[in-house]
Amino acid sequence: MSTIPFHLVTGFLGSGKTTLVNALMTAGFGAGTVVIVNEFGEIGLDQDFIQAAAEEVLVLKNGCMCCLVREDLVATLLKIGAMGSSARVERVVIETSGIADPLPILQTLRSDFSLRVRYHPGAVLCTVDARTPPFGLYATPESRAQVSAADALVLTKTDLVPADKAEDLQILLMAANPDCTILPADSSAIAAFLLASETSARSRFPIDLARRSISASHSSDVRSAIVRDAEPRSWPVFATWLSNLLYVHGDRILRTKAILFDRSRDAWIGVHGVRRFLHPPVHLDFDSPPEGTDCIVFIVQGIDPARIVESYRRHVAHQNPRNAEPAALATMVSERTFQ
Amino acid sequence: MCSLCGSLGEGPAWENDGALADRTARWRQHQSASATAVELSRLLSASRVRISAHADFGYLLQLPTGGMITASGLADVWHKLAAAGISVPDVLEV
Repeated sequence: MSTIPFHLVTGFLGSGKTTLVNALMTAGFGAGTVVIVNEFGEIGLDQDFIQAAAEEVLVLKNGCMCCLVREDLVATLLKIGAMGSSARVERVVIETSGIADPLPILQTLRSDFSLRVRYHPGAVLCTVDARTPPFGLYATPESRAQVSAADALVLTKTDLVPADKAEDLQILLMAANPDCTILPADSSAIAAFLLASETSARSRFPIDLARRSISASHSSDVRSAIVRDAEPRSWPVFATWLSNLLYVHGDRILRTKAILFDRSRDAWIGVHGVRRFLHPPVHLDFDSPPEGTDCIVFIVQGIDPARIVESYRRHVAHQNPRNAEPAALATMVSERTFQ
Repeated sequence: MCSLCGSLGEGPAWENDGALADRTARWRQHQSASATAVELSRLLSASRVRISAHADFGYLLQLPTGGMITASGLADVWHKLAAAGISVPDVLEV
């Protein structure tokens, strides 16, 4: 059974989520798209601003989707899924409230079996008002969560600020979430990004985090650890280790991305995670990955990356680090600070 | 729940998606789950928790008190252990 992709549009209050969804619907993305809008207040207004170009606009009121109305979301998605092919639903776009953390929503959609067999994750878009001051990105837990969970950040209202200020903010955003793509507030570019994320999880690979050179004037305390030549002893050993790591420390591990060789299946596997949320692993169709990309990258905040790398070597690495040459170990581990 | 055997099942967990993606045979998925159970038991040896894999419902957790709990996947194992009052190990520490 083919599954329906779902996208999340998140972003802080007033950052332009509804404007973005409206622009996507009127730009031709609306056919076959069901939009679910979550409004925190009792009187919802956002659906009135989303034009009739969407297949259907549904509203979840009286609470924030990430904590209070998740059961309503599940029920709504099951109804949409039950309509099946007769309703020609090609995708679902969920606009969260401005104070929602996207991760619990993603986890609900992945952990509920009845939803998991009907839907698959597309992309998480986060709108950021270009007028946001540097400290504003980290002012609330919600805004931090939204930025760090995004696959793409859309800078909105850039016409209201000088170009250099918008560029400075982009650098800060890259420091806060080095794995994301920054898109202009252009509906065709955003639609193309969403479509690519629908058709193949492979669009998230190969990873280029290990190659990125990022600098920002504002310290975000976001750091990365890269485990190179990260051939695990086996997939079960790696999966057990990663699941425990994310269960215990998932709040501080913003991103996990890996290209690993699974010797038991003689295949390359791509892994992509956002905090405790893990996308389904992807089997990658190549004999060997591009040079330097067979590695595991962790983007962390408030945790020493070296501890993760050391733990990996202790529990998972195929090589026994105690017997390895110091020079060989040095190539396994590198660390970068995004600041 | 399976209407034939009555066993609980919530479908493929995250770690099994990796095995399913290349359409491997069911015996191989079970082999992978068994290897995962061995690794889990190793990590949990200090807590005297033993884990075994079952094709129908995922994992069976045998607690030191004699109690048994089922878990549908790896993530569920940690949640169930914590809910049962078992101290979940931290791979950064052990």
